[in-house]
Amino acid sequence: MSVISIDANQLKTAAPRVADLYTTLLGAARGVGALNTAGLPGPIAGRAQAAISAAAGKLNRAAAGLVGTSADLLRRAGLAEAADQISKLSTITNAPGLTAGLIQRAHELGGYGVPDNVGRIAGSAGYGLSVAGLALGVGVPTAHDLANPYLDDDRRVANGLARITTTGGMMVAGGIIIGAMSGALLPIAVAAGVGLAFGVLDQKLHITDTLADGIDWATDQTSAAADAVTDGVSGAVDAIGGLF
Amino acid sequence: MPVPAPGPKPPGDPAAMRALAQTLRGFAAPLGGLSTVDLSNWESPRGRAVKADIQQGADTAGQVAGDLRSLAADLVREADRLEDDQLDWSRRYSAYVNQSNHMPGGKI
Repeated sequence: MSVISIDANQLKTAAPRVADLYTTLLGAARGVGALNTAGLPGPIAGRAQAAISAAAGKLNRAAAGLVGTSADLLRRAGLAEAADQISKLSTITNAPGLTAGLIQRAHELGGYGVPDNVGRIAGSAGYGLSVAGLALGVGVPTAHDLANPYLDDDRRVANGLARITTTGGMMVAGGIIIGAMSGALLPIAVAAGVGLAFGVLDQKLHITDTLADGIDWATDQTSAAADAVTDGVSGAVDAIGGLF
Repeated sequence: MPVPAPGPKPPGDPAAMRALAQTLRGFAAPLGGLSTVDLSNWESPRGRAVKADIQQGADTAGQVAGDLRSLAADLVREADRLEDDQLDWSRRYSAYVNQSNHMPGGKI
């Protein structure tokens, strides 16, 4: 397990600057590449043409390395904020009050490439979990390789998540506390297997609703389920952290 | 004493060279004036890769800006030299033609 830090505000600030860098590089590459050396005498013409071609090539290569980076930074900033919201869900008693904020995040994340069906789930307190699962699931090509034995009923799914996420529990808990205190700067503990497993569960089995039920269950003071769902929240934060 | 033939006029267009130099400076200006991107709080393998790409882009922008300015300076220098050569050639050509026409030097 490794600890990473995510600063949503810093990502948001960086995104337009990276867009500016990309646009400037690409614009200069195209402009310089189209320059005409007509009118230059032989020796200087050759030298100038070589320098111009080299400059255009360097600019093009540098720009190519930044394709999509700005949008990616914005998406990650959104996910970092979602992780912050999800982490607050770990205090189950506050879940109803957080739902509105999560729905708002669902709406905002819609512009950052998060799948549309996030909105379908946004009405439940389990939304944050689904964001993590869906977002990760999209990028997990080997999802089908993982088999999960905890599929028979709601309780077994929740318990399964609990077992999976416990591996990073303490560090995640620390990240949640720090994240809740600092707001923008959210250190997240990443257990790669945990995030992967959660993503697969959601992608293949659509357990988000089940988890939402689990949260309701937890609020009904069923202690075992409360533990499982709390760990599930940690897993969701893990899953988002895995994207960074 | 006969004035020797001036030979061909030095080829090239100093004005076009200066215009190209100006265009190059125009491209160099934004490349050299990009704001810095701070992602110091993003620490992960992916974060490091993204930051490396951004740094590479910024470094390239700065380096190419320098290259373009340097080329622009070369072009201006060459344009000045070419202009002097062409002026000198014009004087010699004038003297040569005037001599052929039996006219006093500098009349053409």
